Amino acid sequence: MTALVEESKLVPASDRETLLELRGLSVAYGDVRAVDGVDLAISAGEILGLAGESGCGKSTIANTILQVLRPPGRIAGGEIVFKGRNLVGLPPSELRQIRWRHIAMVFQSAMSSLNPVTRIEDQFVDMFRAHQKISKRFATMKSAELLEVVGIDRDRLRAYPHELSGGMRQRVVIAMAMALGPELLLLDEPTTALDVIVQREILQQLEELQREMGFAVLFITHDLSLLVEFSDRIAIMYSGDIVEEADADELFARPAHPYTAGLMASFPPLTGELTTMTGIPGNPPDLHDPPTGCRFHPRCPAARRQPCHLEMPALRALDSPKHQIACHFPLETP
Amino acid sequence: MSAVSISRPVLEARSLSRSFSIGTSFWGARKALRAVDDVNLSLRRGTVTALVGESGSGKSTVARLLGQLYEPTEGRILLEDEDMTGIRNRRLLLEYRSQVQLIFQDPFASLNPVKSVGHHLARPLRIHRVVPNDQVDARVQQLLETVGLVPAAAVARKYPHELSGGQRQRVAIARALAVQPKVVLADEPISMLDVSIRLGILNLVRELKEREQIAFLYITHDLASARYVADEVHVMYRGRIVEHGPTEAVLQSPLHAYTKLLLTAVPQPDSGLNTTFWQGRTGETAALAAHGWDPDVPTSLVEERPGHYVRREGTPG
Repeated sequence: MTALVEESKLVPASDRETLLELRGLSVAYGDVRAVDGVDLAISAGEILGLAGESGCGKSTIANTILQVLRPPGRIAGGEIVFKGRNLVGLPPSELRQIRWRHIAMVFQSAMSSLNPVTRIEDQFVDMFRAHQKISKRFATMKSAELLEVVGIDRDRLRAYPHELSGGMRQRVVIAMAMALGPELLLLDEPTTALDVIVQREILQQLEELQREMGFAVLFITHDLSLLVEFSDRIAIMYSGDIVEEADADELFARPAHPYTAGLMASFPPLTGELTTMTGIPGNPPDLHDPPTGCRFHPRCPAARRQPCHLEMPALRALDSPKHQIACHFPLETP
Repeated sequence: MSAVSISRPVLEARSLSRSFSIGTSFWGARKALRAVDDVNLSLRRGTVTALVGESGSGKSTVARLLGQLYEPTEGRILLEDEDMTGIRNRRLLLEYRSQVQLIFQDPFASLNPVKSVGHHLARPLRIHRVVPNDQVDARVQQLLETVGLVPAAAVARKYPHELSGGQRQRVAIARALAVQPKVVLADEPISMLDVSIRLGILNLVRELKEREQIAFLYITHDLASARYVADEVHVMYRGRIVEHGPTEAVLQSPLHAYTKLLLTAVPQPDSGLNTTFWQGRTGETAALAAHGWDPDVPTSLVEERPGHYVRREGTPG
C-alpha cells in the first residue's frame, strides 16, 4: 500500500484515472497472430501515440477496441477494459451503446468513410438520430455548429463529399466523431493521405479540441516525427507486440529499443548536417512465419545469437515504470 | 550519343501553362482553372530537381505535361533543345517516352495484379526494342539488381501482391529505367510508403542519379525528403513557381512567405506543436498578403541571391 502511495506521488497531476486498458489482448486472423498479448493503458484526457510499420497490428488494435474486426479476425484472448468494464464478449446491443457515444473513431481514408451519394447534412443527421432521440431540425443545427468547430463554413452542410477537398472531408469525419462527446477518440492514420499543410491544420485543430473537450486520444500512425510532437506518451509496436513505451519527450531524447532508434533515424533532417542515412534494413516479418526469439532480431544491428535469436524479450521497466522496453540489450544513453 | 555538358538541360519547360475547364467552379465564379501558370523548369543530367508544394498547387500537372500525358495550353517542352510540344505522331511519342519516364505515387495501382514482375519489366524492353529478344530475361534480372531487388530471378517470378509497398515501388522504378531514359519524373514516389522504407527509395534515387546520370524531377510535399535527394528546389504555389534555387539556399534561408509556411508545417520532433507561429489558412493568407501576394498583381521571379530566385511584385524590366 505504501508503495502505491509512493508511486502515485510521482505521477504528474495531468495523469488522471485509467480510461481504457488492454490486458493481454491477442487478435488472430486465422492462424496469424496480428496482435500478441498487448498490454496498454490510456488515461482520461491523454494523447497516446501508437507507432509502427504497416502490418504491425496497430490498426487491428483500434478495430479491436471498437470490435469492428472483419472476419476471419477475432479476439483470441485478453480483455478490453473501458471504465472498469470488460468490453470483450458484450452483446452487440450493449456494444452499440458504447461505440461512437463513448468511443469514436476516425479512419485513414475519409473518402471511404463518408457516403458519396448523401449530403454531409444528412450523414450528420442520420448519425445523431441513430444515437439520440432528437428532432431533425435540432440535429441539423448541431451539425452546423460542429462543422464550424472544425473550421468549415456551415453552408457546406449541403455539399456532397466529392465537393469537398481531402482535408475538409477528413475534418467532417473528425466533427462526426466528436459529435456525441466521446471520452476516447481513436485516430487511425488520420492525416496520412494529406499534404503537410493540411495535416498541420488538422492536427492543430484536434489539439485545440482536445484541450477544450478533454477527450483521450489513441493516435495511430507510422510517422513517428508527428507523434513525438503531438502525443503525451508513445507506444512502439513491432510485429504484434509493444516493444517500447515512454513519455514522448523521453522516447525522443533516449530511445532504448534499436527499432525505435531506427524509426527515429528514418527521417532526414530539415536543418543541420546531412549525411547518408540507412533507415532500418530489411522488411517487417511475415506473420505467417514469425522469426524465433525477438521478432526484430533479423533486422537488428545489436542482435546476438544468445539470447536474441532464441528468447522473446518481455516488456519490462527500463529505469522507471514509465519507460517500458522489450529488448535484451537496450541502447545506452549517450 | 553526344557528350552533353553537365549544365545543359536535358528536358526544359518554357513558359508552360495549362488551364482546365471546370464549368462552375467550387467557389462559383471562375470557369477555367489555371493549374499551371508560366512555369519554367530545366532538368539536367545527374541532377535531382525537386518540385514542392501542397496538394492542388499544380506540381503533378507539371509532371503530366512533361510526360506528355496532357497537352499544354501555352508554352513549350524541349528535349535536348528539340521542340517536342504536343507531338502526336506515334513514333515520335514512343521515342519521347523512351527518353522521359514517369513514376507515380501509388505502387499498388501502377502494377497489373495478374502479371508477374518479370512481365512488367520485359514489356517496355520489347515495345521499345531496347535489347534483342533473347537478351530480355538477362536484362530484366539486371534491372532488378539495379534497384536492389535480389535474388532477381526469384523476384521476377513474383506477382505484385507478393511484394511489399517498397518493393513494388522499386519495380515501378526498374520499369521506368528499362528503356534507359534520360529523364525520370517521379510524382510523390514515397508518400504512400512506410517511413522506414522511404529512405531506401530515396537512397536509390541518389544512387541512380550518380551512376546512370539521370535527370530526376522529384515531386513532393515533404521538404525534408527534398532536402535529402535534391540539388535544386522549385517551390510551387497556386500553379506558379514562387521560389527556386539550390536546395540548401531555398530551405535554409527561404525568401518567399509560402516557402516559410511550408517549412513550419513539417513535423519537427524537437520543437513541439508550434501553435503561435502556425496560424493555418488565415495565417497563410495574411503572411502572403504581407508579401504582396495577390493573383491579380503582376509578379515576376527576381534573382535576389546568386541562383536563388523569388517571385516579387512587378514585371521584369
